[in-house]
Amino acid sequence: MKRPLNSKYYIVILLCVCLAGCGLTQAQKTGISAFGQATTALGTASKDQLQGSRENIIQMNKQRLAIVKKVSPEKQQDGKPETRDSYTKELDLDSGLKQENIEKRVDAIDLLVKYGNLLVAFSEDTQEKELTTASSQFTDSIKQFPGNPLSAEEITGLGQIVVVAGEMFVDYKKKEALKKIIPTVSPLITKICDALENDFDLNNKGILKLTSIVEDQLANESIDGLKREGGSIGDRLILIDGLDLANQNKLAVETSSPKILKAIDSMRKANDNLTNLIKDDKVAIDDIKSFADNVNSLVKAIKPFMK
Amino acid sequence: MTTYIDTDLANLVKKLSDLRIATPESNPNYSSITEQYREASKEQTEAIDKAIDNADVDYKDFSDCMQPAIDAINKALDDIKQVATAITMVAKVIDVAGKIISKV
Repeated sequence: MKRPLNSKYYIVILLCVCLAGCGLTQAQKTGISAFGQATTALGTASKDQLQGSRENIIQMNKQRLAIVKKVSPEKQQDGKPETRDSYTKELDLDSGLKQENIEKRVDAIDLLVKYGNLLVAFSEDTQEKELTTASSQFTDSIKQFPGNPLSAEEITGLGQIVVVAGEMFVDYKKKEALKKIIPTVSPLITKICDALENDFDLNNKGILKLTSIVEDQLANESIDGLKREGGSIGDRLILIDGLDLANQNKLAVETSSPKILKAIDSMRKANDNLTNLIKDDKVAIDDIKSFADNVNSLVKAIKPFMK
Repeated sequence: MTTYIDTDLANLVKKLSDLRIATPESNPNYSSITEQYREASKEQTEAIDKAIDNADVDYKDFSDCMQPAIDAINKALDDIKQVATAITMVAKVIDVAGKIISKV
């Protein structure tokens, strides 16, 4: 026998309706997810570039030192006898780009990647499975409650309402959390954009510029050697390999620098876009879309240069 | 933070590099060009090296500020996960209450 819904049902439905307007909209979810994914991809690409830079610098310096037939002095500049450490320092294989420099950058970028992943989790994880399981347990308890006045149909309906209300509540909680998180993190995103731009701009004193100088030094010494006659086939091959290695690095640096800078610049704009989007769901997500496109283009462009 | 490199030094290194490559080894000025290039390039390397060390602070600042933000986000995610747990707990309460009532 079909009975009219009781007042408790109406209250739950009313609650659902109220919460429906308080959660994340589809546009906000899409924007947050796209920003999170692009941030993760840019972070991963930047990290690979920075880690690869030090290895490339060491490889190029080894080759250059072999070409110039590097001879270490018998005594240090202050007259003290040479030690293993002083010989190592004298070689300066990493051109002063220490492992600690890379680690500081990698630590920061790892946090950026983590932030991107968390934003994706926020936008995509609906807790649907957990809520459905909880709802089943809830309806089972109601069914078994002594003197339960609800029909099987009503209990099923109530279970569905619990799931929907739960999802809406989750969405509401997410939005409330993101309204605090995104504006708090926004200045930090600007800060890391500045730092990354410095490292990837060939006009700045950063890591890519250092790679560029080292490849020029190798190219220059290789060409110097090639100008001179003599030497074995092996010697000539080292010179040719040296020039080739320098050219490969030059191409990699000149290809990746503008792409990474473009992606960083678009992350800066997308960051502002995201901050506005979480406040107002009517805001268009053009800058976030452009950020995602630029990162995709970057990932494709640098793929051939990754080892 | 955008510290532009000493443009004069960068231009000098670039010009000396091009000049050395273009000059035949037999040219009497070749060895002095070589020395000048090596010296200028070394100076440029040292300047950049120092700037990279200085920039470490920016990354460390970011990490120091970002870590608490990440922790706060993880906490918010954990709180959200508690929604399903709360429903399950309510179900258990109803279950227990039902069993008590049926015994009375």
